[in-house]
Amino acid sequence: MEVVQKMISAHKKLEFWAGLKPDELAFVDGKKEITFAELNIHTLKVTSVLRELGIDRGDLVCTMLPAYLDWPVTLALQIIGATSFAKPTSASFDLYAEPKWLIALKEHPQFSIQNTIVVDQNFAERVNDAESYIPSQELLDPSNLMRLCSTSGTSGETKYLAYSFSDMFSRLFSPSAVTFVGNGKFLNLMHFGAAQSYFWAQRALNAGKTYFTSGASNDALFEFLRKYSIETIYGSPQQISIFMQNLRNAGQNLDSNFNLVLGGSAPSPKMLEMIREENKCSIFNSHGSAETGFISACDVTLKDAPGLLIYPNSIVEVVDENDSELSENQIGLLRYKVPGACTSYLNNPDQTKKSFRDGFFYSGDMGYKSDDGRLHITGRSNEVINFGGVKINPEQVDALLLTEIGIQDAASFALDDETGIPKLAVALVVDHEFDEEVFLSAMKVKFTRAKISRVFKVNAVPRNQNGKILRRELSRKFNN
Amino acid sequence: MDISGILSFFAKLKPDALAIADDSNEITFSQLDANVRRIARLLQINEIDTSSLVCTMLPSILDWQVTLALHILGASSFSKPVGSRLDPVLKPDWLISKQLNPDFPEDKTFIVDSNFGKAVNQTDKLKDAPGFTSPEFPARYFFTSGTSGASKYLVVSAENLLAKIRHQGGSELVGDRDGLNLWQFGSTQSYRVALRSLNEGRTFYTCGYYDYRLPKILKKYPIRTISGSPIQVSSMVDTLIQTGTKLPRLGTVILGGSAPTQIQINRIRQHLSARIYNSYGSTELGFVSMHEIVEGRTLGGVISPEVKLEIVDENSAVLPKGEVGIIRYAKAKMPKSYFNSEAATNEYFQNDFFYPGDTGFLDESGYLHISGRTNEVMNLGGVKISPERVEEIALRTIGVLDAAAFALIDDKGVKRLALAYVKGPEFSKEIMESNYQAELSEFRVAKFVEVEEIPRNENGKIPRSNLAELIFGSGSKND
Repeated sequence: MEVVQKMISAHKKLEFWAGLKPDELAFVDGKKEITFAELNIHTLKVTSVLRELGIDRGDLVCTMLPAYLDWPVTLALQIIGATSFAKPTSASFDLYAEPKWLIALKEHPQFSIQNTIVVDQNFAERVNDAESYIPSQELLDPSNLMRLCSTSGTSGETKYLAYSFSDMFSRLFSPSAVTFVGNGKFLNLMHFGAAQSYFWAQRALNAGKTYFTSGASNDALFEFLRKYSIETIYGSPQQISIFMQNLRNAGQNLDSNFNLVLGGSAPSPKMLEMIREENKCSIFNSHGSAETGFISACDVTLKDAPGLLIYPNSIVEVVDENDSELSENQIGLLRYKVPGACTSYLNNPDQTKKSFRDGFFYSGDMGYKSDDGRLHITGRSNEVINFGGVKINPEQVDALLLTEIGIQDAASFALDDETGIPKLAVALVVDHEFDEEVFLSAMKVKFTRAKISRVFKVNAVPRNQNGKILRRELSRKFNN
Repeated sequence: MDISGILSFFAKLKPDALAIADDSNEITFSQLDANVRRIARLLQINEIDTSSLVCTMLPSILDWQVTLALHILGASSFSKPVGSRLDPVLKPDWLISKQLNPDFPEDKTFIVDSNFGKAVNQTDKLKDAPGFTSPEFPARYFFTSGTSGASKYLVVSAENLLAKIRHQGGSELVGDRDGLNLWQFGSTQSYRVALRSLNEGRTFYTCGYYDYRLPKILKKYPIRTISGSPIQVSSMVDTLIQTGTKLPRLGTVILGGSAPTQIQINRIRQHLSARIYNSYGSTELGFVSMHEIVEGRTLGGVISPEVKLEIVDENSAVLPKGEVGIIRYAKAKMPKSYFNSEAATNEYFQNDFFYPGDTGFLDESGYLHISGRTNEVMNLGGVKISPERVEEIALRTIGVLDAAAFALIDDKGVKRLALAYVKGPEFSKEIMESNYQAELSEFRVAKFVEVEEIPRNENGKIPRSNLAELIFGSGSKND
């Protein structure tokens, strides 16, 4: 109970750092710098305004804001005792998490206007004029939900993980690859709504350190790194690839002080090769999930993954379909047990049953452990394709493709672009009614989670004897 | 906490990265893993196991490796400074030391010399690390003396070693992550920093000697933050001046253990362009409060949100803001006693609070100001005065570098006020005496004693109970 009390007092943490080092940076996102003193005052003022607007303890609130606006709002919701979750501005809502409130830059077509708080000039003025909120000393229930994080892992569908105050506390101290390298300062390229982004921001607040975040396509990122003496960059292979492209265009490269930490999905050998050619930085692979947090890592600076090293507090087992453990070098299903990991998806018993069993989390990854205890991930048990953390079920895409005019048969698959990043491609058997432009613009509306990057017209979709689409064959064929 | 697992994880993830560095040694993660496992195996062959209590007296770079070996063997351990005495409160089964100790049998002592090094190198690595037998196992003892002089020990269970990593100490709250800790290795501060560094796979910087070797390590590694007692930092500044070393990269200095004098602060300012912080806490409960030392302003300590602190009177009634009283504080999962010391436990741990023996007040903003020590109020024939108040006057006088007030029993057996001082080039005794007449009219300082140096303990605190003896030699007594 006492431990939980510490977590509830986000305002006490803010007050402490604002008192001890008011002028030091709490949050930097490429657009804005916020000091601890500013974050403290601003958060308490935002809290007052949100209370006045009717947000109450226990309310579920969705935010669609840039990071520097999102963080004080999220902390204000924490002080109120509401449950928060962040989504990208263009995202749509679903049945699993129906918020009571939306706090966003503009109104959302799917959401009631009455319960939308628009963060505009009026809102900013109202916050400026507000009194600082005086937080209640009353204790909240440690099992109260504090945060939802969405994940597309395992099935390719959006699912939500719910974190209570006590979950939050145990996650706060779980390690991650970014803490193992560099000088402790790192730039996070992941979206602020991602589970690890949220926990890292909480961790920075807890430790009184600066949280650095930015979109990967910010072309002033190199100056950003220099300005704050940041030596470590975390992002998905896609994000890192965009960042490296910008760097190349600017004629810059990373020297041996820098560390790239790649998460979300494994980088392709081609991508690593390109980074190594032009840069002297260290490169690490970090593997984990929103469900469990960090699990394993390896150094890929010099050669491709020698296998992942499992962090001592994680248990990784390789099992067959009957959950019997397999011996070394045998490929099977991977399941993970990590202290403080989630045990269910919110409002989703079907997916929960599939992914959480006997205290283990089943990620849907296949792999094996080698003689030296290292973990090798070889693929997926289902057909989900991982596009840098955004996981997509190709069968779902195929079904959508077949509803389009002029398509007789279709298969979606992953195709590496020239930098080695997997992109969504489709192979289509078409008739005379097919019009590629019409097709692409229709799909853009129907399927928003990834863009179709290439269309290949084929005579037939390759299938095995059971009629299963041979997607790897398509990837191989068109990669060449 | 799986120390053996963490050692091998980093030995594989970043084998060539530095795990420990001091002025003349660098140990990588793969070397650390190998060294610790060889030392552990050698100690295991010599019958050290989970039932053993082992004391180490070694320079920090050796001490940390031996301590990790004892951890993975599952033995209880504690560190003491090289050459210190053993006391009856905590009797070890084994001593691992640079030399024989007069208080300890030779046949239970491992001498860490070149022969020991050879033996380690010829030993195989420990295969299966047993680790601590249970979460409640007494994994580590920490020594504390405070100003009472009596040895006391705190015991930390295996599961609470993890809590040690989670709690930030004063040296980690401000400044950059890569810092050098001047505290000796046996202290909770240094041990925690070492353990946190290992857990996060980064370098533990340490220094066994505070002489010309200190500037060497500061220049060689990207260290931007220094923490230590005012005395340790002052002698570091002396060394920097003597060796003509400039440290432009050093951005933060954190002083702890005792309050720095204005002279110490001025000297640090003159030579370093770093921001200076004062940290307040205890071995017993860790970090309590901190504030930046800013010229021309007196700031109070910002109290940790994890600490519940109160100012109370002698009957434990809470006093209002602004009133000076006895400081007491508490934390979640705090220790409730000293090991094997009932009297000290009853004195310092009461009503679920720890009473550190300090007095102070909270200002209007709730910031903490320390004013003195409860047990040091001098009773001069029924009239009480705190030594800090007496010392302040001397320390404000030009040319006084350091001062200590104490009660001295004169040849008639009467307790009189005495002041020991260290003078600088601008010193004038007349000015000091007239300052005392003006500012301390109700007392007369019966004796001014010029000394070379004010004696202080490892934390920079003045050992007042035997100050007269330390200044005038044995046989002299104060209160």
